[in-house]
Amino acid sequence: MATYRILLFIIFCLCFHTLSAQPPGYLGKRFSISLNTSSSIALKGPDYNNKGNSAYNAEPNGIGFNIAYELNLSYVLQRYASIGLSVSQYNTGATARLLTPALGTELLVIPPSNIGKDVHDVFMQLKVKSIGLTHQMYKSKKGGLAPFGNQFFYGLKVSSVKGNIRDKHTTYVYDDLSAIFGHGPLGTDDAEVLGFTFLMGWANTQIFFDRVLLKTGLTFGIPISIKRIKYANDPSSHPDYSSNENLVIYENEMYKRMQNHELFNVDIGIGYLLF
Amino acid sequence: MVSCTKYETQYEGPYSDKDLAENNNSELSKELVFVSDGVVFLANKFVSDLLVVSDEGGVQVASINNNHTKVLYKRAGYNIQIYDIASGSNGEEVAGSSNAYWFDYHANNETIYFLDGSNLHTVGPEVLLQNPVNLINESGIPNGYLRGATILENGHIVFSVLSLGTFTNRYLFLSDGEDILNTKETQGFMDRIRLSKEEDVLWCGDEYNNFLRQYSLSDLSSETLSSGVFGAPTGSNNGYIVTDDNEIQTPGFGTVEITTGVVTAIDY
Repeated sequence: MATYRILLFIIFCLCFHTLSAQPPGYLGKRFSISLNTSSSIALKGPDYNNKGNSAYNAEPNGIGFNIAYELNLSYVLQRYASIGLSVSQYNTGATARLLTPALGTELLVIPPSNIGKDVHDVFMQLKVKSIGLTHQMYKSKKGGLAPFGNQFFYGLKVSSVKGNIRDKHTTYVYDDLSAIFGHGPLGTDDAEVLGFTFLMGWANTQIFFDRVLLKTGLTFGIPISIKRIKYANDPSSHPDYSSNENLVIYENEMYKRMQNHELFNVDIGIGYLLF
Repeated sequence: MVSCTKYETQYEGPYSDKDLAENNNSELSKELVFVSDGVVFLANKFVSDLLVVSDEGGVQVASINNNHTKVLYKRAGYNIQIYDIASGSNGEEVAGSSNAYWFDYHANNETIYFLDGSNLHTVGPEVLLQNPVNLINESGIPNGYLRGATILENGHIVFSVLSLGTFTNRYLFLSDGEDILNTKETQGFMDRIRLSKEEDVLWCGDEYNNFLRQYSLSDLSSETLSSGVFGAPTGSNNGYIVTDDNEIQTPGFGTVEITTGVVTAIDY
């Protein structure tokens, strides 16, 4: 008999977690779709149009903003928890300094150790496409109930960063030779990196007209790792090691710019409860 | 917002390695000809990327025309050969030039002139008042030896004569083809005479004294000595100079050592 009562008690406790007096979601609706924007001021680098504190031309250049546009699908798991899948894209800018060995120097009477390098200051426009998975935890004591109210979320985001050199300023070490030979290839074409970011933040979602969701929040990103798509870590894949070095520098700047953007964002979004 | 303003190129604009490749690897045109150990070479202005025009040997002199399309060279006992740079092959030869010891193109890039004994001959469009012209007779030095000559665009002739006698005298003459217009007495054994494209300077080799003698055509009395054996001017103040160490000094791009053999002629 005692065993039976203990078993009944255990079952009751489990049911408490699995059965609710009220189904999760808002009026039983658990699935929502939303369009969000995440924005931040361009402090660590220029934005896509070269505005911001660290603009390419090194002159005060107004205020730059980086804005990401996100499509989010969210599903309520439990009364106080939901998961979200998002895809997003944003554009931003970055700068880099690349070097190439001066061309034609074998024709000069200069010891090889003294041969200089041409300097290329470049402004890159980056396009970042991301996919993320987050888990939202709603605070019941703060009046939260999935999918609305105050929430804390965390998750993982994978971003593909691609860039192209939109503007370049080259300083030649030997003007006479550069007029004939130009400069060597920078080796940055088709550069791409994958960045992995841990996300966390706080948000608040309000419901209007029983369907419309309005979300505001703050997101913090913590970089985890980078994967180079063009195998820049393998010099043997590039016959000209100088170009390979430039590719590494270029990819580092792309990744760094993406990291800086992910550090902090202000989110605003509007959604719709589907079913 | 401020950042909505579209970016405008400030410097060199968009860049891609794909666009760079063609410009970067384009070949420099062949502008220089020199003879080394009887072999004729074409080279770019840096004396590199050598192209062998003739490796049959036995060549002492070679010249290139002003627009760098044709090369003249001659093997001992044979007529002057005309090499077309664009096609990379020999075309015609200059008939009756088997005894020529100096030759070049006139500024019109068509008329070829050569020295045979005391006579200056031309082949092609006429540029002289008379053809051939005996330059020793022109000089008025009956026992003189003709060392070198060049024809100016206007048909005037600059030539050098060595007079051997009790005293050895050396002269540089400017003639209109009939009369002597100017005379410069020099100390050099003047040969391998080269004219700049603008025809403002004249270079003469003096291998005996290891001097390169440079003259202003407007005033033959002005003579500048440079270290070197002979050369080819590219402008008023510079050009290619062959040194007695068998090196070629380039105009602004250092000195190139020639290891293929003794350089006996150069032209730009």
